[in-house]
Amino acid sequence: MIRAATRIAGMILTLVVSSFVIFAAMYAAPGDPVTFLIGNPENMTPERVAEVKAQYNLDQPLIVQYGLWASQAFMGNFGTSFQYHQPVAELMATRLPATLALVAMASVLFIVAGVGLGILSALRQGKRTDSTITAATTLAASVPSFVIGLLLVSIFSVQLGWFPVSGAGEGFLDRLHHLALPAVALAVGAVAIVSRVTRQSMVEQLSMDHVEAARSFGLAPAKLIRRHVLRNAWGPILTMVALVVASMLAGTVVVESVFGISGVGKLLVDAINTHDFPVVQAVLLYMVITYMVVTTLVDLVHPLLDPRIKAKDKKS
Amino acid sequence: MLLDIDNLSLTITTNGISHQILDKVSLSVDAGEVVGLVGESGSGKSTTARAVLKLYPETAAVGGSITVGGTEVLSASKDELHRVRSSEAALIHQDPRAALNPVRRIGDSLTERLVHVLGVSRADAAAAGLELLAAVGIRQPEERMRQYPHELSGGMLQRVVIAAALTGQPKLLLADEATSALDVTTQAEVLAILRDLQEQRGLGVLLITHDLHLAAAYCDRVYVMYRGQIVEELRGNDLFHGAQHEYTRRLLSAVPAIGHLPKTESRAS
Repeated sequence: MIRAATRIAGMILTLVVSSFVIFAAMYAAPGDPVTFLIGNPENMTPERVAEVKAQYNLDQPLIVQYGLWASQAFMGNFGTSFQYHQPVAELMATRLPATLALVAMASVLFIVAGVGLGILSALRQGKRTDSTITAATTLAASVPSFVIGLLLVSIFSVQLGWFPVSGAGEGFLDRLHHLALPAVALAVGAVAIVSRVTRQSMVEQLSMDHVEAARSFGLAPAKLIRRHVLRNAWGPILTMVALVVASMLAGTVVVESVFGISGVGKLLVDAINTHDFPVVQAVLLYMVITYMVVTTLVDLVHPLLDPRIKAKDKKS
Repeated sequence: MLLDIDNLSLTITTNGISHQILDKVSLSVDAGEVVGLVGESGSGKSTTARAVLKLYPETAAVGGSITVGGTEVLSASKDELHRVRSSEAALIHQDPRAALNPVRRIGDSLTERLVHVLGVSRADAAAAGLELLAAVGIRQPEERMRQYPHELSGGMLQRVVIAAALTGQPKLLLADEATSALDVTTQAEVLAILRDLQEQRGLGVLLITHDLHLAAAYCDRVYVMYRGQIVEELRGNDLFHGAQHEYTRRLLSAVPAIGHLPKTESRAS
């Protein structure tokens, strides 16, 4: 109970600090929102400026502005977009599904490929398959995702015509079809990381006494790997997968731009370019929250994978 | 003979350099006999025991022969090797905490050989496991079955490991420093249990140890190993007085006794 309470208190503190940094950073950024809000330079009369400032609370001290914004954000009201004159929450709601679907697909791809190649690599440790996998995934990871995206589009969309060039699609199947290439582009870099961690974690387990013990009494190789090596290797793999997923949720900008998907990433870039502060703040806050949610989930799952963690927590 | 090792040689080549780990090792263990294998670290004791179950790197060059209950292990088919490993001979590791999978329950590790190797039903395996836990002197076995290794003491865990080794009803136990990781009192308890089980079941035991007092007191016969070779074979009782080989004598003189320190060249006191 106490553990859960300190944990929640910690999360709230993180949220307060990070939201303040996000809010304050917007006002330290170059460019004046008033100018943008008024738009036409001919309307820049002192009266108009004062009016706009009052309307958006821009005449208040920073801390007061933050207080107003935070209390509203807490209620789910992130203000109105300067650019679209729509509630930010509504904008986010229309953009989120595409991004979440993209990240979900990319995650499935990189987890299956990464863990699979990692296992293969660990079992062929030091042999040609191992070094080939390492070389291939590292090479793939060092190519920027927009280059991979453009390559995929030119081959599979333009030349072969198998996949649409852009957009996120409507409905489940159409969405899968539309997001297949972007998901691959997003996943490629992560395969290298996940396969390395899987390999390393498994190699570590392979040298354990309980693995030799199981082999000594005749446990079949497939069962040996499943029950004694992979089962014990999940901890670091899970942590890495979660971190990659969390950073993907916040890092779809490039791929969304390449494939013309109107997701959260694209929303953020557009908002930054147009000084649409309420949108930028909301998107950044969403990124902080997703990161926190994902890491908290991982912490909750870890004791299920390794009972020793629970014991350690009880003692402390 | 239950275990017969004849002229066993084992060479491992790493980075083009050959290391001869075992050099014409010959030893035997009969049913109902406790045989000691003593020697310093790196002398090849563990490698010998592991070779009995064909547990050595694929790259090792192996010569000679090992027979367990009439089966030649080194040239055994997959099925024969499987039978030897699952129900003829069992290896007991030095550190029980490392030998049991930390993320699995005691009951799961205990019955793994029965359920996943010998195809016994879970219920039957659990019943057999409970019986064996009681046989190695563990109280409240049902509760222990549900616990994880980190919740039990080292002595308790080594009893679990011994019980697990007996699930396949082997005739030969290979105990590799099986009590070295335990404190002295626990060590005595575990050894007593092992002795009882050995007598009841008529097991042959190859006891690997660096504790010469233990070997002398516990074993019917003792082989002394040095640099991959068996240099001497003695009756347990004769270990401290009947040693002929120079190395055995040096080894014996290095054993500390109450009241005086062993004489070594490096220590001036």
